[in-house]
Amino acid sequence: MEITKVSNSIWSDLIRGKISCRIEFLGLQFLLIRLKMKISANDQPSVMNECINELKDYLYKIEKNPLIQKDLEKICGIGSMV
Amino acid sequence: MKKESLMNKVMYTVDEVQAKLNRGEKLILAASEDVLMRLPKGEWIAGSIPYFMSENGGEFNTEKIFVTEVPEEIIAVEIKKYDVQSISQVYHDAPKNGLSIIITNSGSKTHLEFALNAPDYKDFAMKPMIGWISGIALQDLGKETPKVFNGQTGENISDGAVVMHLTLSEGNYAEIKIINIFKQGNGDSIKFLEDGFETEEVLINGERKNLAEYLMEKNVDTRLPLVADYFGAMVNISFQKVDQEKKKVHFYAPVFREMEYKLAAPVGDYVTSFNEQMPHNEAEKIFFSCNCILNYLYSELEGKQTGGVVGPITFGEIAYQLLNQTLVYTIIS
Repeated sequence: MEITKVSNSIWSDLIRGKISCRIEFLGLQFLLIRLKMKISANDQPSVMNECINELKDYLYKIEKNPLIQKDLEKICGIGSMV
Repeated sequence: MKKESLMNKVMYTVDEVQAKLNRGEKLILAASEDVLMRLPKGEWIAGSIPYFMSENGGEFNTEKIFVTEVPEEIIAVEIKKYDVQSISQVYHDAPKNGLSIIITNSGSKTHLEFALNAPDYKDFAMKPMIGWISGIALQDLGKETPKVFNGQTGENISDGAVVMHLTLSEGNYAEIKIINIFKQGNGDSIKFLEDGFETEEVLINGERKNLAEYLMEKNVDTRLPLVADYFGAMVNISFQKVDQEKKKVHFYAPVFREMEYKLAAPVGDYVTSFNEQMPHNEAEKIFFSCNCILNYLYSELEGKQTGGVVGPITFGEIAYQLLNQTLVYTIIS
């Protein structure tokens, strides 16, 4: 998957819950909500950058897991359309 | 060590479990404390609880042991004990490709620490973790303390967590799933002013109100939990107590300040709702599952089957983090 090709604005919208993308992998759902709460508590560009980096780092580390492929395809699919 | 198929025997006598341990089997166990105390040292972890979804349906049993056998896809097993100081390492310690089974005591410092802070632990949600909160017979609340056991050392632990870190063979993966029959209702938005297990004032649709008074005014059935939407996963917060005298509401799991909650929509029959949500044929692939004591009680599950799913009935469930009123399970594929 081309995680690197997804723009920061897509990651940002994903974290804020602005993208209509049904995530199915429970671990990713739980990570995303934590990041969303973090940005809700302190909505600063630096905090969003931290959240984006954490999310990308998470996905890089588990991208080989077949159970997350569907979610990655959805996210990267949105990224490639923009 | 092949896992027995579902609806096969899962409840064993002490003698039978001893024999399994003597054969070198690696086991995840649930039973009353007195029963677990009689087991020899070995490759096992356990938590105290006398309620089960067994091959016979929901049952209260203080004599037998619920047994989950470590399946053949596992190539290495490490049993580790954690306390309130070290529990934050639990994800970091987990194998790169594996599954960790965690059991901690209800009401212990370790339980409360994990409940509040697990999402901030290093490597949270990176590695699959499932487990449960040990408990006691409800008639013994306030008299006994829930326990967890490290079978390797023979320790009977009042405040801590035991974890079986399982390494999977290459090409196998563990998936953690939940079945929650509750969904957010269409009612008011509830937000909390602080993280924690209890609250007084909250924001109801943005307006500051006392939650205990609000629940009384609205005549809310507090057997229904608060529900938060975690990117599509419905996560419950169960009501423990509404103290109208002190105007305070207590929960079985922590609420979080930046999260929006809603009261759950009413459900009809639990077993019907459960069976509707359980994916077809998935029950027979389950390696481990557990369900909540509140589902057992409120839905009167004693003697009833839940779609062929078996497991301990617990004082809280863990699927990466603490959950309430939810069935959690894991499949190794």
